[in-house]
Amino acid sequence: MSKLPLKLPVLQTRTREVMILPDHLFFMRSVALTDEAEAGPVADQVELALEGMAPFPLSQTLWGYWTKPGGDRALVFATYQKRFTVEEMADWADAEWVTPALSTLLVEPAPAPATTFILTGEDSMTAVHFGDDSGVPTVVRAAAIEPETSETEIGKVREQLIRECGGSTSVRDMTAVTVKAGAAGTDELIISRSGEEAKVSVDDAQTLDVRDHAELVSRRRARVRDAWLWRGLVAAMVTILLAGIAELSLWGTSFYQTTLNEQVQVQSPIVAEIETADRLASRIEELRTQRLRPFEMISIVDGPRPDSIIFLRTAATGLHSLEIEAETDDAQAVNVYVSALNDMGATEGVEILNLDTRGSLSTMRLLVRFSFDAFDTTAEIEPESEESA
Amino acid sequence: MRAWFISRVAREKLLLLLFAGAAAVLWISDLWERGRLTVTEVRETRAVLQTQAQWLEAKSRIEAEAAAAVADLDGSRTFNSLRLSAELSTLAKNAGIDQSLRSEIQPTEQTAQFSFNTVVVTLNRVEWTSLLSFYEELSQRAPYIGIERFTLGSVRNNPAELNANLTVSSVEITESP
Repeated sequence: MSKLPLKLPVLQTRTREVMILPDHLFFMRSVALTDEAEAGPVADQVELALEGMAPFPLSQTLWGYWTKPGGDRALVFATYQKRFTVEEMADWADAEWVTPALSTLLVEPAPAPATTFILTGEDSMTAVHFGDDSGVPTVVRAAAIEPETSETEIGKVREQLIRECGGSTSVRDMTAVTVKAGAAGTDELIISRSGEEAKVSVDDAQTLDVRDHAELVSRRRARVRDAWLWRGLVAAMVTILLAGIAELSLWGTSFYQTTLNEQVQVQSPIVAEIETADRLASRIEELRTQRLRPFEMISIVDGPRPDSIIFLRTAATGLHSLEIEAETDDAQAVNVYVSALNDMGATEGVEILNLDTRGSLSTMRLLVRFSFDAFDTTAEIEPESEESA
Repeated sequence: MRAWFISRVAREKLLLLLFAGAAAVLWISDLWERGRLTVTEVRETRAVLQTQAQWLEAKSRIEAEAAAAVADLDGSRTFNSLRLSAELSTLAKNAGIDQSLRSEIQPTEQTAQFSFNTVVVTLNRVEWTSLLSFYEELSQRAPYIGIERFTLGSVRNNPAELNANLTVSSVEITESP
């Protein structure tokens, strides 16, 4: 039985390319810059200069430049777009950096004045001359080298380039470099020469990129957007992580709650028993020591009752309170009766809860509160002898 | 992870962010609600436990008070619910109103030491003097029998006749305190 291959998704990143172009395809000039406050941004000054000296329309020109902050010169390099085939340019759209080979020298620290770097590539040789200490080359010359060119011929080309630069007191032959893009999201270019690596920000190296400048601006915006998307994703992931931790805490709290509930369940019957004992003890204490005296209450309130008032219902609502529902056909008698009750020493007060008069018949509901010494509410245990008698 | 995310196309990045954000928001929202409920439940349960602890702490005191409440009562003179009901019938008979008596035994409340019995008594169409006699006889049974509630009403078409409603209670000692 044949086994089906198991294809699991693998997190793979897109290959990030750097395109290094031969220097001899570019013409290079050092152009003067004026203060940005007066003449506008450096890129605009360079573009203006190129319009004047480029042998082909600017719209069909690939160009870039290099300068130092506050510098008074810029090295400009440009080439005719049609020098590259469509196939060659197909990969440029996805590349991180597209630039001539000499750019790998420009991002390095500036050498002493009158120094010439000789950069030898597979198909070209470039002489980069630094006439002053500005860090911006003053003269750059490049020549093509065919694969079959002999070492002697290459030496002659080298001497010719140095002569064309002029004024060189120091010549340094630079080994070839490899340039690769850093990991996605780092926005770095890694330039390796003789085993040493230098990292350059894509943003810093952007002026050396020869692609359409509007496109480069949009790429920069995309990098900023991606950075914010990544931050958002990290924030969401951190929130999810925290939610996970909180979920575990909640699980722990639920477990704790279950334990508490079990404790409550275990204790509930015992507590209910104690509560019942407490409540019954109070009731027995009342039963043992106090007596409700409804007839004594009725007897007291019946004393000053006018004949026209007839009790319909009485209810002892406490040890010292009686509610009376009565009716009368003499409305004046109600006031007389309430006043009489209030004047009695055995009462503390009378409250009229309701008084309803329909025609000549009035119905009232009174709450009479008795003083504590109005009647004896204590209940004492009779001696055995009296019980038996 | 960052390199992988950055290398995705913009649409995928946005979708990933939306999914992660939505998951985070939904989870946090749900968690917040459940957390709030759980915390409330824990607080309530702890309050219940605290109350229970207070009762448990007071257990000895309450038992002592309960014992003291019945300490000077004679267990042989206490009434269970049946004896209470029978005693009320006897008192009514002595007052000549046993035909008007209707009594209903209520559920007994009890602890290990004593029971508390309650009977609701209704006396319909009785005269004042008979009712007073019944009351005086009943009063002599204090403190073993007591009236907890009392309502008296006159019969509408004959005010000389009365309807009385009493809640009578008694204590029964089930074991020596």
